[in-house]
Amino acid sequence: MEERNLTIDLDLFDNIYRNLSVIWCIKMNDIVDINGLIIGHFPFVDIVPYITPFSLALVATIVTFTVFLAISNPEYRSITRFKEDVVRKETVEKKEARFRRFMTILCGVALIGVVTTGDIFNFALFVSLTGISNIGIFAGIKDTHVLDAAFQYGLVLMICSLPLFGGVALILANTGTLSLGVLGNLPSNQIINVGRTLLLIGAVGEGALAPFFATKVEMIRAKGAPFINMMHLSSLMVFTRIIELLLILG
Amino acid sequence: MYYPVNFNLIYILLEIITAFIFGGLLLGLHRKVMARIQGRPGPPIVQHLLHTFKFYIKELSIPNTSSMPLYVAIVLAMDAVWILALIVGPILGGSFLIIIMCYAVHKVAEHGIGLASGSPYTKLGSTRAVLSATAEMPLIAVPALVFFKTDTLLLDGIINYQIVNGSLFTQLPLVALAMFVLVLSKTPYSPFGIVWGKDIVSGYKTEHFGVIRGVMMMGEILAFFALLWCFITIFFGGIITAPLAYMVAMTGITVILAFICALTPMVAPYHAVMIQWIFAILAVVNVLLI
Repeated sequence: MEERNLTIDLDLFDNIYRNLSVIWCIKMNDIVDINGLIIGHFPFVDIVPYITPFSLALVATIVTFTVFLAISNPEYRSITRFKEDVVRKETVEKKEARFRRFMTILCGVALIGVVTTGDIFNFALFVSLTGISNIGIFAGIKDTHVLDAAFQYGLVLMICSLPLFGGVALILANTGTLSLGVLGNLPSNQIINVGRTLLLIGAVGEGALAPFFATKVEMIRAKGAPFINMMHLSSLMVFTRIIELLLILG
Repeated sequence: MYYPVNFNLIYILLEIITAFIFGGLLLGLHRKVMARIQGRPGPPIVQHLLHTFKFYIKELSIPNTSSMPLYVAIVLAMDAVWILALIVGPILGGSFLIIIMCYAVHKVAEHGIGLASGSPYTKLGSTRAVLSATAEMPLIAVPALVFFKTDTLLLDGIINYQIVNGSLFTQLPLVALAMFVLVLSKTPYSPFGIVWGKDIVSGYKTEHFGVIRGVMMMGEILAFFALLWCFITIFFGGIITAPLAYMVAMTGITVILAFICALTPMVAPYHAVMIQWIFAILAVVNVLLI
């Protein structure tokens, strides 16, 4: 039987890796103009997560909030009823709190992905994950108004996943890349602009931002302050990141 | 440009103390002007600062319905983000997007403060904080339109652009108006201040007393100073450069804000949303016209 030589030319890989890194670094001007100096990047071929002062500030905020929200106890609510001379205190049940706390942490992890990724498909995936975890935060609540609102939000999530991923697909089809480092330096055209608009609509829907925020206002009637606060944080972090993304794509 | 070697802890500390004292005096002036317009003598200008210091020596009481440690941590977060904004803005001349992030986190903090106490009044305040997050539209419009004009969002770069090409205020007046609305919405007694409306006692602040209230007031002072600084830098960066000029400009804008707050009633929550959207759309129209 013929023996095959399976040695790998490491020098060749090293050269490709170095060249791609250099090309990416040269092409990061737009990101630098928006975010400030790039502190570090991880060159996985053309998918390059990067760290700038802006993303660092976002990550620090998200980690701090996630830790504090995860260790906080839910608040109590004072309930009084007509013809009863008693003030009752209600809070979230332990089993429900455990699940919602898990969803809060998951949402925080997804948000870190949203703000650090250098790839628009990963961005879309992480934004979807924040949407799903937000629904999870409210799914276990035994309140008809809240569940109705969560149902409406779920519908918006599903509908908006189409423009979100559609926008990404359109940009990929037009440019052949998903990397923000490369996309930031490509000249804009009408198809990219349509893709950007779809991406914005998708992210706005997934993050329950205006004008889709009405259901969010209804949902936060629920008990469980630490978990509910995470939803608002996720909305505004997605919103902050989408501004950066749209400007880089421009 | 944005280099960590610019960090000088003593300078940063002095900057924050200056921002706190001058911001407090500006808010005192704001109350004084409002009072004079309404035919009252009003409190002395240092009253807002004294009021803040007073809370530091008051007893701290935490409601037994509150969510701990969120009740305390969220107030500290409000201060922390504006200290970050002061470091990134005036000291490092960094990205305007970080200031926008601080503004967004301030809204999250307002929401969290309202939720954490368990009181129905603070809960209403926090619900309004979520509703008022529709100020997102001017928040998107302002950095995007400034970037389209200047090709940079670094504050140093925006100042350099204005030194060469003239003030952005004359080129993008409606975008400046949208940013002014953002500053107005964070001013005390603002027509858009639905989150702390007196119809819901004091909104999200109702259940915070003692040191915690003092810390919260410090955050609000730093926020007011940072937003005014940002507004002046982004739209008058080429004209106003000296610290004294900044102080005069901040005082002038505070007086204008006081006139608006004194003469305008607090609008209904949905009207607040609608008006802020109108200003964001006007900003976009401004850019389309040029």
